[in-house]
Amino acid sequence: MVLFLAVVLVFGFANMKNANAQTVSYPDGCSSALGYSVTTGHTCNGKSTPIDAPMPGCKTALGYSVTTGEPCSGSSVALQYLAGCNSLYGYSTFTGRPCNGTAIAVPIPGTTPGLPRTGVEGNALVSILLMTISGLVAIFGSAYLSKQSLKA
Amino acid sequence: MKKFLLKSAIILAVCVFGFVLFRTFYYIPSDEIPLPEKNVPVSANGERPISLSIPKIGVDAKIQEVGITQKGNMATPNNFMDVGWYKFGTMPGDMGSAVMAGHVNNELNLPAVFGKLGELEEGDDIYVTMGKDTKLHFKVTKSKTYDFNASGKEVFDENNGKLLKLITCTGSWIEKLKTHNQRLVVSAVLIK
Repeated sequence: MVLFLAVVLVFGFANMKNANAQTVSYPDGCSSALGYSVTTGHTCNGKSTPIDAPMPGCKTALGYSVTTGEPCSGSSVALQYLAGCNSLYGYSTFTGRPCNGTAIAVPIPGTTPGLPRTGVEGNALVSILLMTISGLVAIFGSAYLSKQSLKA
Repeated sequence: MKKFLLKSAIILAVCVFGFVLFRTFYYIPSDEIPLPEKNVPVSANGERPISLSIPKIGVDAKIQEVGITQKGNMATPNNFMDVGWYKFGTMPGDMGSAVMAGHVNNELNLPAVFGKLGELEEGDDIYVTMGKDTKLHFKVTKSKTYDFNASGKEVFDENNGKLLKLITCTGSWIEKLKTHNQRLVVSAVLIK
């Protein structure tokens, strides 16, 4: 029994160490190593040059880059959630910024969404102009080319 | 050299024409954000909505499952022919409001899948095909317009029956916001 407890304790402490190793703290006003601190204005990576957000292959500071495989947080550890967040939804209780790492927060599923946007007519003139110009260029260009090749 | 430039210009023009044509009549990018699927409801027999049919206005459309946009609105289908079912809401045929949205027009202002939604009247038939064998029959009960930025609560949260809500844009175009100023919501109730 004592041996069993000792094994459990040792195993538990070993796991706790692992869990602590995943926790990363960033400078005040930073939720990742990207960009500048919102409170101090210093770079969040502690160097003279900030890391531009997002990293290559990343859409936010969360998870890993799909191209490089490196953490999107800009540090050595990937973030599952930003500081002050326990999901991708809503706002951080720490920084007050969106928990999804973008400029706009995601509402919590189950809450009522706003009405959808289901019309696009404002782009009609641009579409007509683009199609007319490109169509004319294609038609007259092809006609000119075939005329030239007939002459030759 | 001149010939090469002309050929390049023609190829570019054809590409531009094709791209604009595709965007104008078919594809509309969606700003839906990826969310975990764990909140998507599942029907008792595992069926999901596949197609929507409204004989009176000639609608026979595929149903896409849509979520939420970055701005917190219901997302819309990524083309002008399909309709989008709000997958984090009510399953069609269940108690509550199953909500579907479709575009009113395409980029040339020609009618899209819900271009004639405003013609529906009380008693008109709507069918939702679920899986292979189930076809749900709804009848229109009312139509109502809302401001584009109105709360969605009345539309999404009404639960005094097995309801279907169809949404599209209506009213006038607000150039600054790139959207119409109103939304038309047609409500229907399950018959069988």
